[in-house]
Amino acid sequence: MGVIDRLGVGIGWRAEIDLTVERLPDVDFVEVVAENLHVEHLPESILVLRERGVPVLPHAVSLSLGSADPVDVHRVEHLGSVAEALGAPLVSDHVCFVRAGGLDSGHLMPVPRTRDALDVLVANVRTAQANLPVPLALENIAALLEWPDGELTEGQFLADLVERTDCYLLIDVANLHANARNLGTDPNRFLDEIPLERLAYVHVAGGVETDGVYHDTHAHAVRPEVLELLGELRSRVDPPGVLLERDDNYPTDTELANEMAAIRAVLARHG
Amino acid sequence: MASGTDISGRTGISVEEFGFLSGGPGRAAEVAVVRLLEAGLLRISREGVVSAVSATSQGASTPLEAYALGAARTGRMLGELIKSTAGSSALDGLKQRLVDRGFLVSPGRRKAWGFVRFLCVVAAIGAIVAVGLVDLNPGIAIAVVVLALVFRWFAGRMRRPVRRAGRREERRVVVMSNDRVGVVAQHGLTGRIGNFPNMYYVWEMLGIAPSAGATLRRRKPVRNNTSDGGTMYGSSCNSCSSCSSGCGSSSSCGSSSDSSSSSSCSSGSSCGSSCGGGGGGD
Repeated sequence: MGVIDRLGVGIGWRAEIDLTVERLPDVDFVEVVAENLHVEHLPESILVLRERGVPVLPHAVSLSLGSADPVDVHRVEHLGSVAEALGAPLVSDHVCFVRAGGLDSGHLMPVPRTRDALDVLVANVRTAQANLPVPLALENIAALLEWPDGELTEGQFLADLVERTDCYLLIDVANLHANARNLGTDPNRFLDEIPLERLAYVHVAGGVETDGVYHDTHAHAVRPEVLELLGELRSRVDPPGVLLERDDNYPTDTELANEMAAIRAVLARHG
Repeated sequence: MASGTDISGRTGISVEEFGFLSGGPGRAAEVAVVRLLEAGLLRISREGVVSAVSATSQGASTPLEAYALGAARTGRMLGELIKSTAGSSALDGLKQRLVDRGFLVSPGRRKAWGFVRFLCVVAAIGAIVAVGLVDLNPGIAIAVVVLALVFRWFAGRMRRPVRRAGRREERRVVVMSNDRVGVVAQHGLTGRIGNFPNMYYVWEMLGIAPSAGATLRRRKPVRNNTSDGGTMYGSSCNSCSSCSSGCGSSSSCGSSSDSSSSSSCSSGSSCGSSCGGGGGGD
């Protein structure tokens, strides 16, 4: 794909596990939450990883590209400045909105899958792209609800988005599993519909099912069903990168290393 | 659960108890935290964020360790965690055991000797005032002042938290150089070890990063005052480059589903991931 030929297998860098990330064997790349970084004061651990040549990809959570309001250019510029400071080949955020009418949701909210909402999203993505120094990848989210009167499937929605903006895709297979479990969506159809040639990398995360609802906690072990979906994706395309996300209740270094090894094994088995 | 680990070269006193006798509650808290770090039940980041390895209190061998493990569940700066552990009710049990064994002066007794010291000052001032007011013989006044000062000094010694038996017990302890937790109990994290000129801090010996060590601030030691030891702890976030504009600022937290990351932002300095939690997942 040119911009990101090969990332490998990585892990989300978090301040609590910075030394763990540095110590883990075979970390090919890491991802950082862009809002948590100040360009002038990058964490020492990030600098250490950069010195080792490990790619560090900024991942944003606050652009709110699905908002009806125009995108906040200051947030985009911050994301861009983090990317430049890290020498990152691309940045990412989500296909969602997190604020509306001056209020923050505190959550990644799903966008109505209508053509009008797509127009708004496309406009915001183009604005963001115009103010970013590197390509933008957009991630599918785990939603606990679907807006009524949707005109497109999630796969069609993302395919149209890619076609109109030329953005990349960041596919979270745990979110795919969550939506399949909670909303009854079909992950295979999703994978059939999206342009896999625009895949930047893949997220894998753990979760837990409570009272019939799957919670994408990022605080539990990766479930076998999620790894199966990764295998399904791998059987269709060789993803440039796959990244393990863990945001809380951090296990031992060994357990994290084992989860990364399990990802590698799935990629090898379905390759 | 209650006794902790006997330290190298000495049985009958736990390493936390030894830490308390050597450096007060803060030192005992350091011992608990370092023991958990050494056991892999806590992890410390480069910036000094200490967090529990998985949310379980299994593996804690003393009430103090159980407290520290629970307190670190959401990630705390090293200095802050030690400070909070030193001030926890879990430490009261440890302290009481040392009082019961005759190693520490009881709080009531300390208070009584403190009052005696106050009375000595009153007596000294009264004697000086009495010279002017009721023509007290200056020689008597001087004698009263001297006696009051001597008795005040004596009361001060009696008020010291560690009794002679405690100091004797502390001196009997032999810490092997490879007993890392014992070294912490003896010298404290900010203590210096090694031979001049190759001296280094105990936290360096443990492999703690400098920015994490910086969350421990050295305070002027108070001679034999183990009420709070010789080290002051705080969340002096002087090196927390990861302090986030994202976390804590609601305007920028669009966050992931139950990424539960809100909890990990509690220290305000370790916002590893997005904040909030709830609806969608990233």
